[in-house]
Amino acid sequence: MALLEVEGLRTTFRTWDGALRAVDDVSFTVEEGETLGIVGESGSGKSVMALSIMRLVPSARVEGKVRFEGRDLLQLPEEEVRRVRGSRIAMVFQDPMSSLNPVLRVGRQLTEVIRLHSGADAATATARAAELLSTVGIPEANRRLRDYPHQFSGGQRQRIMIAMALACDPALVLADEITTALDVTIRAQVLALLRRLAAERRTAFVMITHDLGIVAGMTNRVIVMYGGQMVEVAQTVDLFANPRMPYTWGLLDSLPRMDSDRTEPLVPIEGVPPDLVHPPKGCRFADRCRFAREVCNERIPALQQAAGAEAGHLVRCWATQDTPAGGWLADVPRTAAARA
Amino acid sequence: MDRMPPAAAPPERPPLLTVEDLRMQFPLPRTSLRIGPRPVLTAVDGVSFAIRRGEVFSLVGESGSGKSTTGRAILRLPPPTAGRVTFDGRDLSQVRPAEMRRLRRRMQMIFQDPLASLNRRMTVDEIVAEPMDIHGLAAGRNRAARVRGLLERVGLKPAWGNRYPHEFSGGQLQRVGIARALAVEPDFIVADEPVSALDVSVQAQVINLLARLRRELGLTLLLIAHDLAVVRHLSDRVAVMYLGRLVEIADCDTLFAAPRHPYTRALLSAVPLPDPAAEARRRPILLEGEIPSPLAPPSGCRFRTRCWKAQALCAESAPTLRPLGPGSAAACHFPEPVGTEAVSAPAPPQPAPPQPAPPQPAPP
Repeated sequence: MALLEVEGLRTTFRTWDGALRAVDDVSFTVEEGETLGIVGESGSGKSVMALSIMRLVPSARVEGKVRFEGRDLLQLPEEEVRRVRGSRIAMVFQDPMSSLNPVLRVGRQLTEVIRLHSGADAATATARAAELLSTVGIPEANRRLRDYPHQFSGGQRQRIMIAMALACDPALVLADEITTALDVTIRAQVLALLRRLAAERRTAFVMITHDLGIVAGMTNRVIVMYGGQMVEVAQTVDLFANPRMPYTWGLLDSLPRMDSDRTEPLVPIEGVPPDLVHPPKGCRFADRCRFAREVCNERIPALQQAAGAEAGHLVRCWATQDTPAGGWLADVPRTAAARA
Repeated sequence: MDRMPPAAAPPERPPLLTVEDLRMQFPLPRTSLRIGPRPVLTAVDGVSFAIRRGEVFSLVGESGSGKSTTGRAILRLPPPTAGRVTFDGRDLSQVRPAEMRRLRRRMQMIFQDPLASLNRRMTVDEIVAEPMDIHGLAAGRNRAARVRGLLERVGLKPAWGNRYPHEFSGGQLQRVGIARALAVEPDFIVADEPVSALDVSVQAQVINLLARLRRELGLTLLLIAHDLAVVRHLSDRVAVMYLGRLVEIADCDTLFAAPRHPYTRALLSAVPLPDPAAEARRRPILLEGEIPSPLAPPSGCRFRTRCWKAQALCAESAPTLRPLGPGSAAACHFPEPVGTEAVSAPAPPQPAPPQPAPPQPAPP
């Protein structure tokens, strides 16, 4: 049985203009010890999805099932969800300064989490907190427990958040853009740390990011999101070798890369993301898609097996599915040069 | 296909802008009642370079490197503490206010956060026309026509001119910011992180726009950015900053293919590639520790506390920027040899990088 099973997750906000469906029918599983990447641009719904799983969007209506270790988190009483949060599932956010309490010493914040979830006494909790700080690479851990968040650098604060997430040995960590605010060399340190932790502890990670480089280096499997929906799901290696959704092509082609021919102009995706209060009738990506046909504007394609791809490589696209109504891009070459 | 032009104007032409020994210091509030000098933060410490006409010159570095401060000091926003900035042959610290106004027209800036840098109570037409009004460049029908032309040039519909900033997406707003900068027909633009707030698909639109404008208008661009892939894509020459100093300056291709300063090499090796196979091969050089505080920078070479090659000499004397080959200079006592594995190409596996050694203690 999978560690986490999300089924038909829908998150709807009420706005002045009408209902905004930020997450629209998202279903996926996370296996024990797996690192799943969720990639998408602003407004794709990736962060709201993670918050919905944790039941941290009180202002929205969340529907569907979130089965974790056999229980549906969306049905549990608030009290029990709180016990799961932090101890079995932990979440790390992009901005560590706003997630840490600025007026409490770091040691106090760490030991509080440990004591709350494990019932350890103060001395044991302090020892454990110091151990965690050194695990995440903060030197002189014992002394630094007495420091306040502002006395740490941005990279160190992010490590403290990771330490806090690991404090109770969770089975699953949801990491939302956790390296985005960090400098390149510090980001490399934090990613190396996460890679080591994933390997040593068999913790499952859901890495939410807009950075395809991080997806390529850190994850086993990827979900691409667009306009609140999953549009492509594949093994990481397969997604980069054989992307099937024109939006994914667009993401890969629009990226300046350290190993590309820099005299070639980038191929941007023209247009802007859809308005989710008044979503298009058909495929959310249709009006930006160079390959769209009439059916794309008429009906939303289902998420299903991509033509000519590995089993389990799913795509929400009329053009690249093997269906009677579509499939006109089923044989299009996969490389950027050949597509252009 | 709109290809980018071949790199760099011929070097024999005089540079459009030279920066000599630029220094930028900020006095800090006293932390106690103790008497004595106020603490001073040196954000930029003796930076020199020259930008050729028509080239894209990039400053890269991490937070606190002083790259943005350098870009602003060039435009005298605020004026530098020391050093000389010469624009088109004129020393900007010596010119009279009236002439400075005329020169300002020729030097414009594009900011990172387009919404914060545009007046949200003005329509796009007004935003783009304002600099023309200030410099008295156009009036009446001519003015409206120029605004229309500018919006078209940056890929916006002229009909959108009567809308307000909040009605636009981030990418569209950045186009408005670019149109405003172009309104006074500058020859030099400082672009401070112009695409880092944008999503990748939109970022590519703005990168292509900058490349096209530079080609069509013959603009000289100082690009300040932390995203090395973006810098590599747009630049003719690149300067790397660390803790207020230039550590390396080189032609773009040379810098990315054969970095000579250890910091540059570490920086390049740390960039993830959107390719799982290349990622599996990539061996980033993991630097230990963080950038030291600019209030108490290390003696000698500022990078020595994180450098795996540091020796006693590095603590004793600060290396100066010296030429190491055609179109390449680095400030390092022990530069990387030529032919050090490039990280910019999917290449055979790198030899394992040396493990960063703990910093060598300075001799007493």
